Amino acid sequence: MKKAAVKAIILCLVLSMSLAAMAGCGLNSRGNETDEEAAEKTHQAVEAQKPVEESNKDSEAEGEQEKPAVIAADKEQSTEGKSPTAPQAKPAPAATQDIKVNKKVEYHVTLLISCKTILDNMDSFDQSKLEVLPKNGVVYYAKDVKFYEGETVFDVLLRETRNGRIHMESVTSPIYDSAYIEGINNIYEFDCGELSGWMYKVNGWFPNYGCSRYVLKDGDQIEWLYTCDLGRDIGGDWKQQRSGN
Amino acid sequence: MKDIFSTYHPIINFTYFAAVILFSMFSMNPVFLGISAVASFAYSVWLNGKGAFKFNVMFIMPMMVTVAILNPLFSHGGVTILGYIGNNPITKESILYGVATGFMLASVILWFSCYNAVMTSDKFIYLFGRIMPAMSLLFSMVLRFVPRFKAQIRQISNAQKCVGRDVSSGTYLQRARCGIKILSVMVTWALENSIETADSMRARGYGLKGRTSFSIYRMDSRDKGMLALITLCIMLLAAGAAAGWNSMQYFPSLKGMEATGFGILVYTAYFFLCTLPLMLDLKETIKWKLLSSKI
Repeated sequence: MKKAAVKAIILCLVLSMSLAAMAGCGLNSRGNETDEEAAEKTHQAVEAQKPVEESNKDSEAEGEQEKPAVIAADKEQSTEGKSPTAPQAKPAPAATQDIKVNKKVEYHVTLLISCKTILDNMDSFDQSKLEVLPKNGVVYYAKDVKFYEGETVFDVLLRETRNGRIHMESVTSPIYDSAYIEGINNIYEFDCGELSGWMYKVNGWFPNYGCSRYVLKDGDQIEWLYTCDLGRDIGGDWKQQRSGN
Repeated sequence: MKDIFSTYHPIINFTYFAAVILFSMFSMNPVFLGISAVASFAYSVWLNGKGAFKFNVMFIMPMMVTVAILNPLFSHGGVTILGYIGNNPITKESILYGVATGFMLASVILWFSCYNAVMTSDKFIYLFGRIMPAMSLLFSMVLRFVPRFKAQIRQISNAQKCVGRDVSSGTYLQRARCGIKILSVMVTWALENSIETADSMRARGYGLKGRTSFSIYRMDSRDKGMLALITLCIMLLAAGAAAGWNSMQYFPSLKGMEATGFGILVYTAYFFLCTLPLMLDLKETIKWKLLSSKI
């Protein structure tokens, strides 16, 4: 009697465990499927976005069609719900897995790293960091630097800071599928008030997505600027930019 | 080995450890860290003997090394870039900060082990029995709980071994059965013991008004002198800490204060405070040797 009861309990346990395992597998496989689908869709979107330069009108219709797909794909990846969308004629954010670097093709961009805004907000600046603050606020003077086809703003920043022995710390946040720059030259976010941090600007526009999703083109102008006021002091006010477009 | 510092009044023991542990916790100056780590290591070995030495080497030292290795992997600040891991730099400042944190953690743990050896529960109850009687009683009972249960389990399993029901022999099923038996005896004993304790406490008038308690501690001139000495040291150190002598800048670059007159005084005071119990013991040992050799 007792043994039979034990056997029954064990059987029940094994059954429930196997059920749970099967359910888990099912979930997993479904998750993978959607991921792949999403990747494909975003890939298509990026492909569609590429010829924007040559023929704006042609791709516009295509872009319109593809955009919902991009948004849907991003929704699955981000908990934010809001997906980054670029205004027209600006590159849409690329998904990390779609970025392919072609080392054979070399292009050039200009890079500038500056924290001039700190000089106007010296009273809120961390006093222990005074020694790393450049006198005129320029960490990296505007310079022509080379990059390879398919590389992002982040790749260029990483390479140049390493070459110049400039300190730079970044963190990759999976939610946004992008790198976030915490500090350059030991000047970190929040070092100049709680609204301060690093922002980037390409050809006069502050992209509203991460720097490792911005695929560069030949002749782009990258500026890394330190803001002490959430971008308002460097012309990168997010709200204004949104209403303007 | 008999420790002289333990024979001082509980107030002195407690003040001493509170001061030493707090200053160890909040000091990142390498001089402070070094003094604290060496003194706490020596004192814990002096108090607890060979076992403490083994524990310190087997557990504390690997912990220090782990902290020193882990810190530069997660913290990348600092101006001296030594290399790169992934995308982020490994800096000298971060490594040294990790080493300093390791020393700080180690010395705090070691000081706590000394505290446990010196501040026995009767001393603790003597100090805090008036201010928070229930809490201090509970505290000392809880601290006694684990060693007491361990001793009782050993007793039970020895008794079971005598009748051949032990976890050390037989098939796995038999062993498990014996283990459960021991556990069941243990739980029964614990429940019964708790009732006995409660009865015993009530019989002795626990919780009645106007009770006094006996203690064999008294504050004599030796204790007063020692208290004055420790207070003087603490005041000096507090002044030094207010002036920033116990801290040091690690990020973005290493920057310490140069040891000038007052700084050296503060360092000396900290050295004196940390090695005080050891010096007392040393003095006592030498005195004993001298006196016994004269006879």
